[in-house]
Parts: sequence; C-alpha cells; structure tokens
Amino acid sequence: MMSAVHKVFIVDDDEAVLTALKRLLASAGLSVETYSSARTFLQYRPHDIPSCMVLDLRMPELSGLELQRTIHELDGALSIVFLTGHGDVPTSVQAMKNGAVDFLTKPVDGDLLIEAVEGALMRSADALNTIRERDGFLARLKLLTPRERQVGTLVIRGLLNKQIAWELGTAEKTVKAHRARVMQKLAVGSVAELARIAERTNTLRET
Amino acid sequence: MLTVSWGRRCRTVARTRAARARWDCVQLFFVAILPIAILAGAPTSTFSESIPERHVLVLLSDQESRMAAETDLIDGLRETLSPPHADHITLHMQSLEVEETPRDAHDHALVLWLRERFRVSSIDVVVSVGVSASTFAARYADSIWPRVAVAFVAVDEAWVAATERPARSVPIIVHNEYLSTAHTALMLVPGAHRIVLVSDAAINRRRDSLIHQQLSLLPTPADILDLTDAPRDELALRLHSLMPSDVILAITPLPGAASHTRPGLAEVAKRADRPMFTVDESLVGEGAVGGLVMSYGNVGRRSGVLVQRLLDGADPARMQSTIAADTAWVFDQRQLTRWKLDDRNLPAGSDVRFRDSSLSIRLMLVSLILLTVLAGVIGRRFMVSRPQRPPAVASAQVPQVVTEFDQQRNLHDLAHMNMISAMGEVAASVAHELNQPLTAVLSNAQAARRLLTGNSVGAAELREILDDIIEQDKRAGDVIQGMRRIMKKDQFEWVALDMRALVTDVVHLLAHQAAWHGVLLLTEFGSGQPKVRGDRVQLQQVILNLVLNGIEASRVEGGARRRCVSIVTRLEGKSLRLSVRDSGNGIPADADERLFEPFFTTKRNGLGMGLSISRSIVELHRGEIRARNVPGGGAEFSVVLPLEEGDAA
Repeated sequence: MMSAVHKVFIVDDDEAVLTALKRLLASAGLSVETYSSARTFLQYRPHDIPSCMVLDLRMPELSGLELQRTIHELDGALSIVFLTGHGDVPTSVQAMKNGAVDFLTKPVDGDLLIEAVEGALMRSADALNTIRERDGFLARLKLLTPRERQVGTLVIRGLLNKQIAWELGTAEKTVKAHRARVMQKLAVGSVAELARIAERTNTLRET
Repeated sequence: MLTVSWGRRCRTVARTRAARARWDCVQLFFVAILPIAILAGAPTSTFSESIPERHVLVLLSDQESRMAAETDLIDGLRETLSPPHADHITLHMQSLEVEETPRDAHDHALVLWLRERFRVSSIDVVVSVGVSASTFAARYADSIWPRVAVAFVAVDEAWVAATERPARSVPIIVHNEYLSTAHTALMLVPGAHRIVLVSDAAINRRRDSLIHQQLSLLPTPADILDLTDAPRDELALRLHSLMPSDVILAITPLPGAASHTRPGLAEVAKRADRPMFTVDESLVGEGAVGGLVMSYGNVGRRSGVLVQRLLDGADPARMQSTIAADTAWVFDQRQLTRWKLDDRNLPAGSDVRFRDSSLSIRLMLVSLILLTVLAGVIGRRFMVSRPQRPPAVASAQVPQVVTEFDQQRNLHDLAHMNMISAMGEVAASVAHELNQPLTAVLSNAQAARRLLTGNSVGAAELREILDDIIEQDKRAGDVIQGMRRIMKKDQFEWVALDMRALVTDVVHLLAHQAAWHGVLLLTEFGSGQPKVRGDRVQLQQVILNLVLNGIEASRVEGGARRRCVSIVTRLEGKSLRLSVRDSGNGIPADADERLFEPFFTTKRNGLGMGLSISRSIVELHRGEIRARNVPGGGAEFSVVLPLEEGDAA
C-alpha cells in the first residue's frame, strides 16, 4: 500500500471505465482523481507530490502521445501508465521512448495495474527528489562567486589544489580556502558527493 | 415516434440585411433539416400509445454566425433522440433571438411568451444550444420550467465560470483546441516561431484571455501577434506584410457567441501569404491548412445521450460537467502542398483530405491475390445461367436443381467472404467498443474482490458495483449480438425475412463507423413489416455493401456539407424497394455503365467486388438493382425485390 501523500489521475473518455478504474485503484488504498478528457487535464498543475497518470491512448482528441509530451513539460515528476485497447507496436515503442513507465492493454488485470501504478508512483517520488535536490543545489550554486565556481569546476575534474593554483595562476593556499568555501556553500561533505550532484544536475561543467 | 414542432417569434422590424440573413437561416432549416427530421421520425409502431411521450425543449441562440456548427450539433442531437436510439420523444425547437449580454426588457417579454407557449406540453428536459441561449436559460429556466433539468450545450469554460446556473443543470463544455493546433503548426512549418491570431468576429475579452492562456502552455514558447481586434484596414495591411516565420491561427467563436463583423476567414486565408491553421472543420477546404478540429455533430450526439440519461431520471447536479472531446486532426492536402509542408510530420491518425486518389502498392497486391482467388468462383457464377426459381427444398433429387443449389451455395460462401472482408473496415471500432465494457467489468469485479478481503465494504457499495458490472456486461453483449447476427456463417437458408430487421442490424453495426466519419445514418421504413424470401446472409451483405459504399461516398470532400446516408424501404405493388442514398459526389458519368462489373471500382481502396456480388445476389432473389444520381448531388442505389406471397400491398 502506498504511503499517505500521492495522487493518481485517470484519464479516459468512457465514464463506465473511469468509475471502474477509480474503484479498483481506490480499493488498493490509492488516492485517485478522474478526468473524462485529456483536455481537462491540461489545467493540471504540478502538485509537488508523487503522482502518476493512467491514460487511455486512444482518446479521440489530443492523442495520448501528444499529451504525454505536453505533460512532461508541465511536470517532469509525473509518470504515466498507458492503457490501450489495441497494443499497436510503433505507438507503444514511441511511448516507451518518451518515458512511459508502463504500457498495458485493456482489459487490464487489476493486480498488474495496481503494481504498475505503485511502481510509477515510486519513480515519480524519485524524480521529485531529484528535482528537489537539483533545485536546492542550483539555488546554492548561485551563492558561489565566479572564482569559487571556477575552483569547483576544476575540483570536479579531479585536479589537485596545486594544479588548480597553477591553472588559475594563484597560490595553493588561496585555492584551499576557496575549496573549503565551495564545499560549505554547496553543503556537500566530499568531492565524490559534489561530483555526483554536479553530474546529476548537469552543472559545474567547463564552459 | 419523433415529432418536431418549430416555434419562432417574429419581430416587427424592417427587414434589414441582418434580418434577411436570419431569414435565410430559417429557410435553410426548413429546406435542409426539417425534412430529415421528418424522415427520421417516420416510423410509427402500433403499440406506441401505451408509452407516455416525453418532451424535450431545445433553445437556440439564433445568431447567424456559426450556423453550420449549430446545424451539425442539432442534427447530432436529433439523431440520438430518435429511433432506433430512442423512442417516444418529442423535440420542440425554439429560437430565442437573444444575445450573450442579457437585455432585460426583451428577456422578460420572452419569458412571458415562453410560459404561454409551453403551457400545454409539460417539458421534461430543456436543452440550450450555444452561449447566448444558455445565458438566457441559466437566468430564467427555473422560473419558466421549475424543477426541470437543463443541459447547457456548447458553452465554454469562460461561460461556466461566469454564469450562475440552476441546481438541476449540467453544462456540456466545448473546448477549441488552439494549443494543440498551434503547437502542430509550429512543428509543421519550418522556421515558424510567431503565431498570428485572426478572427471573423469580435472575441469577448474573457475568451480572448483564455486563448492566450492556452497558448502560453506551448512547449516551445512562441511570439503571438493578436490581430483579432485589428480594424479591417489594418488587418488587410498586416496580412500582406507577414514574415516567413509567421503562421496564422484562425480564432472561431462558439455557436451563438457573436456575429460576423469582419471579412470571412476563408477570405483571410486567400489573401494572406502565410499558412492558416484552424480548429473549425468548416474552414478545412476553404483555404485553411487544417488543425485539431471540432465535430459539432458529435457534440450533438453526446448531448443527446446526456438528455436521454436526464429523461431516465439521472440527477444533473450529480453529473460532472462533461467536456465534449469530439475533435480530430484534419488537413487539406492542397494546402500542405501549397506551403510545402511535409505530411510525414502530421500527428498520427490525421485525416488528410483532398488527396489525389492513387492505389497504394499494398492494396494493389491485396487486389491481385483476391482476384486470383475469387476469379474462379466468380467465373463459375457468371458462366452458368441464372436460375429461374430458388429451390423449394434443399434435399431435392433432380440433378438440375442440385446444380442451382450449388450455385447458390457458392454465392452464399462468396457473400460471407465478402462480408468478412468488409468487417475489416469496422473491426477497429468494434474492438474498441468491446474493450471498454470489458475493462469496466474486470476492474469493477477486481475492485469488489479487494474490498471484500479488506472487510470494509458496505452492501450498498457492493450492489452499486454489481449493477455496473451487469450494465457493462449487457453493453458488451449487445455489441456481440449485433456482430453475430451479421457475421455468423449460417447454413444457406431460403426463408421469409423481415427487411426492417435486416436493415436495422446493419445500421447498428455501422453506426460507430459512420459516426467516426461524421456521417449520419437515417432510416425510414414504410408501414407494416413486409417480408421477402431469400437468404439472410446474402441479403444483409447487399445492404451492408450499399451502406458502406454510401458512407464512403459521403465522406468525400466537395459533397454536401451535411454528410448523411438515408436507407428507405417502401412497398411498390408486389415488390419491396430498398433505396440507399448518399450525400457524395454522385456516380461519374463514365462509370455508369460498368458500375456492377466485377473488379470495377472508383474507390481509393476498393476491390470492385461489392456491387457485382450484390447484383448477383439480387438477381438470384429475382430482383433488380439500379443506380442513379439524384438531383442535388449524391447517388442512390435501389434494390427491388418481390414480396413474400400474401404480403403484397
């Protein structure tokens, strides 16, 4: 069973299907909202909680794939489980490439769907953590002076203080002070941690 | 039984140009819509007296703008509220001549008048079409028809947000897909990064800001140049000086929302030197490249279903506002070519119209294979002489009768084969129709099982789930029953058949297919239940071929704007005439002669088998099949079959 805070959105143009899927997911302790069209969902705003969307691929308006693109722009942490009436291969492949967590065919087995949704929520939680971490890191990154930023970049490249001092044409002692401030401002304990976050957030690369 | 009453208040104003335009619309209504309504309402069953008639009042905004949309919508509504979808409903149409901004004195007079007019018939459901009529209905419906459910059809989010509605009401919101259309326009046109908004009507500010809000969600931000308010001269000037990075997006008002004050959008498309995209189906073919367009016919059908539920006693307050999602990607090939746009970049499932007809290699291959397979069978059929009489008993010992019987069985098999291949065309929609109820049944059942394990389920909730399961199971059963009656390979049987039942089965089977292509299927049966003698599979095959052809023909562009296929049966002395009429372009003059020959086809993906098999079947049934073009466009195929003895009029 999922932990307290999360949201599952079901989008399907068939009211009977919508009600049934909602019952099923609610019976597994999931918190569910339903939408009868992809378009209503465009009013969606990121919730900042793990969330997942169960989407019928064959709704006659905005195609599911298109919605997937739009949604991804709106909220990178929302993961999608696709339901489809007919497992048409090129579409499924495309959906997978675009990052659909799962691709299930209707009529869908309840346990499979619940499992897929729970998996999707977990991925959403991960994505949310990454986003939060990234946002925090980017905010802290702004605290660095240009010089500290240079030092940080070179530290990640694995250079020793001596080498950095040489690169920047300054004293090793100064570099050491800069380096300590970088670690402190970015709230990281080790060079390894700094490198990992920089890698994940795609920051502090050489320009 | 469906009857239509049409009320209209006459204003004693001089016949200004606007008034004349309105009058034209009324005429259009009488000429184009009323006859169809009467056609659709023709059958009267003999036991109809015992069931109470229910009355639905449809309020129209009656603005001359968006008339095409409103007409489509009403047709869709009417279709769902008439046989075979519904019985015993009387539709009352009432134009209001109101505007979106209420005018108190005028409105109060109208309220008094409506009270008087509908004093006698007790109205069960009120439907208001378009924003103006809906604004009126929202204010006064409760006082004119207390406690009557109201459906506000074809309003938008802006209207819902700004309007106080009665408790027993439900809105059906239409949503023009500007965002998706603009996004696709930017993807499709190389180098495009500015969207120019034009309109043929004054756009209300609230709506304008909603459009901008939609466009602000574009994944790739674009500049927006809003010319919807630009005066006529400025608009003309600006249209001539657009940049290569511009695409035009036509903003079209909702039904009943505004009147024309500007040059038409078709004119804009012609004058501007950049491609124009649209969310209005009627502009595709009038110079627009295309877009995610709204089918108001489907909005009408959806509204009809909702009205049926209201008539069945559903509580409108408990229904969610329904958003009509009846859109499809539609493009004009000529415009794609004109602007050198790559149709490989079109959204999946796009309907590209005005294409040059050419046989794809795949279809040619299929044709070749089928040709080889079928040639033998057909050859045999065409070489033997036509049987004079169908056999009375299948086990006849006389050699000649055995030969005839063999021929008939061959034709029976061939008809079945042809039927199966025709089913390919409807298979996808049938699969979808089955999948939905099956999904609902499975999910409901599994939900119930989980709830039982958790011991937290109430009897009421379980009953509700079981009711839904039963209802959805029946829904699936109905789909299958309809399929079976047509698809199953019965033994060849020579029996008396009720023509009306045959036609009804075919119409049910093709309803989804027709709706998908925006084609209306209309049936009209003469009185009684005349029977003809023959083989069910074969005769149903003939009807199916003719109706499928009709749908295909009506879809083509350049035909009548209202796409419909009407299927009419009529007694003529000792015969029964079945005619199938479409709203397409008619039969080309050079095709006339060869229409019923095997392998002759005018269709892009046709095999040329349908009509030739149909003729063989009809001749075997001692009947005749004819084709002709009807005045005013479209083709009509008629089959005349001898009536079962004792059934003649």
